[in-house]
Amino acid sequence: MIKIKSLIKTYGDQTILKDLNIKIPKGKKTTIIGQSGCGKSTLLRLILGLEKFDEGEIWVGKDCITHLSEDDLNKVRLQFGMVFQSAALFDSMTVGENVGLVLKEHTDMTREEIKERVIEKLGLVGLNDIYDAYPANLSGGMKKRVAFARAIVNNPKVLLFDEPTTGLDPVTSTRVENLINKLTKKTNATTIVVTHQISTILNVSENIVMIHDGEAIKTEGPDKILKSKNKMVYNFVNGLIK
Amino acid sequence: MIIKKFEHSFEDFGQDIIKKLNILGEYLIFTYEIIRHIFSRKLKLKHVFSQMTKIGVNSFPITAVTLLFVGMVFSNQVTHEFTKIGAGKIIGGIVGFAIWRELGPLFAGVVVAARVGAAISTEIGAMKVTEQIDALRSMAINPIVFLYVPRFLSLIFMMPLLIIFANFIGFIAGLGIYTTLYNGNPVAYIASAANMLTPLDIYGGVLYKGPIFGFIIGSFSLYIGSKTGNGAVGIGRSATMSVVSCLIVLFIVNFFLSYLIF
Repeated sequence: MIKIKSLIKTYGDQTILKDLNIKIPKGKKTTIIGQSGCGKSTLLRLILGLEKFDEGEIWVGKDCITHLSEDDLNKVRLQFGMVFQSAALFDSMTVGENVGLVLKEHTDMTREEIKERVIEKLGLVGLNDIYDAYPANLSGGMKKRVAFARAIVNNPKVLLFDEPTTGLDPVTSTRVENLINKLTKKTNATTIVVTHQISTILNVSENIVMIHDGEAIKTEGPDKILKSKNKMVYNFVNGLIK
Repeated sequence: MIIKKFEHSFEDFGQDIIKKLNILGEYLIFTYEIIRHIFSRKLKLKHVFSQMTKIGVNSFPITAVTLLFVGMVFSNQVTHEFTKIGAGKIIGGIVGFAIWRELGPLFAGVVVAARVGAAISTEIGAMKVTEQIDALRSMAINPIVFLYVPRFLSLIFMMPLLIIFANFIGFIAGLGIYTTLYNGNPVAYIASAANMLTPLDIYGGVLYKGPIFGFIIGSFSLYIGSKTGNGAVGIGRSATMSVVSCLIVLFIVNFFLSYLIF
């Protein structure tokens, strides 16, 4: 389980997150929704320790990452797989090298073993025969799927997705959403998806948290969110549909 | 009214100084972090050698062309003027002095700052803007060890080699002009250089200036690249800033090094 307690994050004079409290249940898919700039992506970066927060605590299982050094944070980070909004594939590396990098750097696996695992994971996301291709030669949807393969290659306990369907056409979006469901089921990982796409919210979520004005609002599940009793949530999700 | 205007100017001036000191402090900490991680067990020599090829070996052709023409121009001017006053016999020494002490190291530095410094800033800047550096960190890979140290070390190792090469090309280019355009005696050219140049003239520019120039270009371009923001505009700005800063610092440091070494 991931617990966020009284989290405060400021940029200069601007307070992005103020007294944020969220519990992310283990093995479930939690969707974080909210308007652009409300701090959704920042929250993922804070959970990974990519940015420092001002006050509060973040617990990943039994580890409180609040005061961890970069070396200790790295041990925690190995439990995560992150898919960035832009896919963030390394341009100078092939798809195979991109996906296998974490194994190469952190395990004693041989080159053949790494290649085998990479091909297996690429197969899981429906990408075959692109092991030697470079990211520049891939479409947006393919890049996202390579990023998925990279995120799951070391079998992480937690998967983080930052706007996984933004910028994709509806067909590719649906394919990506199905893939998130498939991967989560297969890996049994705790999953956090940051999104403001209504289709992703409805198709992926088991648990939804809305961030508004720097605080978390607990909402209904995907089956009832469209008729939410909370005016803020109702306006937001129905505004997305319009 | 006038006093208020002065107050504002002083305030702005003070804030500007604080901002610049902040940047200097950040740069020093950044460079210290790179140096500290040189001895990291995670550093792979393979990455350093790969960068040495990319950064160093690929810079040889442009360095050769630059020093070829610098040597030719310098030799042409010196020979033209010195033969008028009957000092043709010392041209090899004069060209040798200029090339080995100053022109070779400095122009090699300028070439590397323009070609490699800009490329490093652009590459690191683009990686930062497209979240690739965050992706590395999310995979528990330290970008300092993985990206910065190999580039930094390769510049420190390759600059002396590039300078030796640059000096050789510049000196030979000078000989070419001396013998072909002015019918000079090649033996006299080389003998004059051999008589006038001391070992310090030969290795001073290579062993002292080389690694220091590599250090400057590496640390500046990496620092500027790592601070890139604002998308494509920011990347372009970083490349420009990197070249400009490296060149200014190279020229200033070159003066003091020459004063101290020779």
